[in-house]
Amino acid sequence: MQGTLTTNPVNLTDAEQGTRRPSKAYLIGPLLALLSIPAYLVWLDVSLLRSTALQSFALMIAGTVVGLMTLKTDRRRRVKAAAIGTGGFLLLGTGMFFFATKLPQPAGAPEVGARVPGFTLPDQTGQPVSLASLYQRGATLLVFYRGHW
Amino acid sequence: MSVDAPSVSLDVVERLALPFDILCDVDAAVVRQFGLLHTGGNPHGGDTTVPAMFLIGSEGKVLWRRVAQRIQDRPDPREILDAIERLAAAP
Repeated sequence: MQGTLTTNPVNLTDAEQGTRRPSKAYLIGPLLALLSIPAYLVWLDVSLLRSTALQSFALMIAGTVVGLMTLKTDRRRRVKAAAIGTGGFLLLGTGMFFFATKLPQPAGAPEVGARVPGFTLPDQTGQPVSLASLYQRGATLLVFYRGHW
Repeated sequence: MSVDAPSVSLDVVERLALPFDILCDVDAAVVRQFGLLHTGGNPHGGDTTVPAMFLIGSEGKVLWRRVAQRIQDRPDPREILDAIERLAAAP
């Protein structure tokens, strides 16, 4: 009985301190998760990071973990909302990265060993160029890219 | 090559001082011929190409190729140069 009497006031002081200085720690998770966007754009030129977004996933996962850890000690509604939001952002980001960016599978693109279709197209100055005229001069790397916009 | 108009590609070649030409497949006919059409793939609604690379030997045969599975897939330049070196060394 005496034990409970002595611990109760201690708990009260803790709770009072909690209300006097509300912790902003719950903002760390969402902040980490949001940093995943600039982190992806900064390293767009590094092929590995462009194709895997490792740094962005690390930030989103770290943000979600931090959010769940904060939730253990701070049960306020805004803390819950931040943790749920961060986790949702991770799910949304994963979905966008892996599924929304899927491309149609090439239908009959020439395989290794196959002959390429012949064609003639204008270059950037309007001069017609045939593909054969390029590879007959030596091995040619033909790059199809999505264009500038 | 891309589906951009020559004027757009001329600007790219000049701005980046590219040592190679950009072919202009404005109506995506060659993209279609290569089976790489991405219908509505351009953010402005037009068609574009699935990003792809073909290394073509002097007899017009494909020696090496990469076709993107997702928009962000791009081979590392090192991987392309390695493929070229390996094929140049092969008999």
